[in-house]
Amino acid sequence: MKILVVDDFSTMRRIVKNLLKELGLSNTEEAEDGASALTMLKGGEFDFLVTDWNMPGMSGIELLKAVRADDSLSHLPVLMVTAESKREQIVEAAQAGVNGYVVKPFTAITLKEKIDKIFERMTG
Amino acid sequence: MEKSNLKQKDVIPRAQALLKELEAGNDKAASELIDELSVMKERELFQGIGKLTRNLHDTVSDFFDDTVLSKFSNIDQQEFPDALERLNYVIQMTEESANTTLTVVEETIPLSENIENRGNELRRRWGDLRSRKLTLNEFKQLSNDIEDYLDYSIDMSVQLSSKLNEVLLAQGFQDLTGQMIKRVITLVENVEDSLVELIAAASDRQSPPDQTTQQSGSDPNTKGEGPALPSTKEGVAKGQDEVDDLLASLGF
Repeated sequence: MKILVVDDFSTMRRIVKNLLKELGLSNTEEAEDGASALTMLKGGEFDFLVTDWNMPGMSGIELLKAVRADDSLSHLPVLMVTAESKREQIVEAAQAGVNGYVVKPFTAITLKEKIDKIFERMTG
Repeated sequence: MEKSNLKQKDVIPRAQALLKELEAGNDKAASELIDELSVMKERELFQGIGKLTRNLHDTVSDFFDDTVLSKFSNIDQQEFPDALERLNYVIQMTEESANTTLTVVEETIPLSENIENRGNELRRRWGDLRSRKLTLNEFKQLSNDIEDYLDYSIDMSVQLSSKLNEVLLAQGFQDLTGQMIKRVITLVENVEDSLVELIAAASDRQSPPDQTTQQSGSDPNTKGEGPALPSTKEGVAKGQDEVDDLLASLGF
């Protein structure tokens, strides 16, 4: 299971990576904005994308839309971990095809629940 | 700004006269000439300030027809109280995070000290065993204590991991406060730009201010808004439960 963690704040990338490690998911790579993330996704066999929303350059929602529009990536499960908590934004992410939405600040349990749920649906 | 108003034809004769009086040792006359020169200098300064003030006043009077206004009006008036609330929220979040971290560290240190102390004690008794100093009863006791210690150290490791995870999560404040501070910086930059243009407009009212569009005009929706302020109630999901409910209502 290879995971890409996208956030413009390196501290948050480290937090998410460490929490994923706790869950036994240690094969992670990082990107600091949507544009570099998209390049990495196209180049490497990623199984899962965890992305922030608010980033300079290409934002997380734009990345999500680009992923869904790309034939080779459209089925990639995407978990959004973000401080964006406006209802219209959550609806927009859902409509764009996000697989899970976690608002910051979050707990380790919440992250685990959402990831488990996504994997359940993938296998089920 | 105006170029110097001090006319060389006024200054040079006085300066030459001053030199003459000084060489002749006429202190009183020299001092009068110095006063005269400084009055001239001050008058020039006051005239400059007066002109700048008048221009600034005119500019502010015309403000409502001026393009400078459109610059300022690009800054949402609500941004100022929001900025203050953001900065206060930053203080609150950093304080909470520091307190969480400190509390966890304070709880964790005794755990690791206990592991160390009990380990040291068992290590000493183990040494006694190796040098055949233990009686049979002491050996039985030691082996029970070692078994206890193994369970204990496993239990402590689990506890330590969970404490370290709490510290890990508490660092999330850096991202959230960073996003808030970035927004305040953007506001300060916009205000600074507007002030610079206001001053430019006041000092040279003939050339209108540059009408470049504001950078903050990018679509806020795709760029994201950053963390919601605690006072924001409208249209914002409060916490993960409300997010989950909303997604569930969308058939998620």
